[in-house]
Amino acid sequence: MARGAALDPGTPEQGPEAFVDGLAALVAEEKERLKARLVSVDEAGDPGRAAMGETGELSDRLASLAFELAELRGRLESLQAGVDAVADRVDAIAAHLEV
Amino acid sequence: MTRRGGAIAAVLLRRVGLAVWHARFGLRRGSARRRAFARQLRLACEELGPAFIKLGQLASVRPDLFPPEVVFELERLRDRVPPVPAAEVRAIVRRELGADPEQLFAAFDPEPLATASIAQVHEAELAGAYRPVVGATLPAGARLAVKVVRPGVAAAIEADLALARRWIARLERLPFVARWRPRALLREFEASLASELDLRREGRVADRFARDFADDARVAVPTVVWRHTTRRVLTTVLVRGWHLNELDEARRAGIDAHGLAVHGAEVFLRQVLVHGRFHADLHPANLLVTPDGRICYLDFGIVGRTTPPQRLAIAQLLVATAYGDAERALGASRALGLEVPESAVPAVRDEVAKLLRRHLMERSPADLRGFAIAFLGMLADHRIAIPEGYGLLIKALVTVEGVSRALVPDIDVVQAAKPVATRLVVQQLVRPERLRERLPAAARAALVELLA
Repeated sequence: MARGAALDPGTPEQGPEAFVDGLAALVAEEKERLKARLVSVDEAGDPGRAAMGETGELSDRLASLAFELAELRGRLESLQAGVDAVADRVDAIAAHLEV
Repeated sequence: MTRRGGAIAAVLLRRVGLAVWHARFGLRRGSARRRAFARQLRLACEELGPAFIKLGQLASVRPDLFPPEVVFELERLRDRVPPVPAAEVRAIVRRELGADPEQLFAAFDPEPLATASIAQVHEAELAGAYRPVVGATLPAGARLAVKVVRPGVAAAIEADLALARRWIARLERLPFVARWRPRALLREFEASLASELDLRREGRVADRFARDFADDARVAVPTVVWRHTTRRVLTTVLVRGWHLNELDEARRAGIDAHGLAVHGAEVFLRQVLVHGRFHADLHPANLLVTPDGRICYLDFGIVGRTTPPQRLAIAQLLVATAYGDAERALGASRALGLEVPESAVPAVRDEVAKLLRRHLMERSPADLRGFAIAFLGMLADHRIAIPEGYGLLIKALVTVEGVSRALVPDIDVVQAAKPVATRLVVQQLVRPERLRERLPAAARAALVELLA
């Protein structure tokens, strides 16, 4: 039975034991990835790390805000269509009464 | 009894009679007998019109309430209805949007592209450029699909529901009927139907889905044009492509069906495990394969939701199931609200292990549908209640298998999804908040080990 890092991530043999092995391999891979990222951030120095983190977070929040606003705009446009429909019906009733 | 009441009673009695005949007066046992009744129930719904078709479709995603044979038969419900005349469609558009179709759109085809019991779809052309909620600005002249709720559908459904309320008030005096909690069930269905008749909700879900998969070039969602959308009219970009029953043509055009099937399974897992909302009504009519090789998702009427703790438990459940680990599968199921009485745990675990072996591990390709039917039946035999979200998820997974098989008949969706499911589990497990949550317990365990 191959164990841990000896297995290719995501393609372990069948069975619970192999599942744990595959999982361990993936955790090891994820850990290496995180370590590599931390090293690259460290090389940029502390201010660089803070700036990177803040920029990423800000960008996510802005994207989220832009979506919420666009969603709101969509709702307003739909409401506007509804109001146009009511106005059209009022006009039709007024025209009918005039006749 | 009203005329409609009489008509419903006549159809139900005839269908029950046929079901009894096909079940050989009860001589057929278990699943075969339930299948005979389920088929007649589906045919009765098709005969009785929109309210029943919709009720049947809603029941088809509720294995927590109905036997698996009924659930899987009802997913085959088809509505055959004549199109609404063009003059009536014009009147609905005018009533909903305040102008005639010719004033709102550069062109509007009075012949419907598709008709169904609740709504029908017309092709149109965008008059001026439009900036949607998600994606690039649509140019004037873009082809549109205008979905219009059929006139009188809401009233017909309400009339049938009123009738159902009266019948339930009488029938629930019978203990056999009362244990199904019919009144609560009807209230739930009423809420679902009301929400499905409001097309703005479908549009909002489509926008969210489009945002979730904005980074995936192989996923398409029709863009919503909100300025032409109200409760009874939904306008989106028209996406052309092949339905899953027209795939021979798609293959001839060079579409990679296997790649799409595997990617489709991955997209579903991302919906469930990452975004926390998933398309729960993925029958073949709700999917298109586009000429540029994308999967297009249509009709977001029924959507399942998962919370972050549920996502982790689902990830663990999926991986445990894929690797045939009954113990872990039951543990994760418990976290999802499946309550197995302590005394029944050993028997249930053994049966789950047996079913996993028989349907998934020892069969190639794995038979997820067979596993789901047997698993849900086994839970019913042990009188174990199935949580709503849990049932919906199982049903949705089986549907994903069905859709993948429509693309590639011999695909093993469990094997195809295994790497991505495992990867997603790991991503869930190593998330900083999850690590922070588990750190104190891990530190305590390490201390105990050190001091031992």
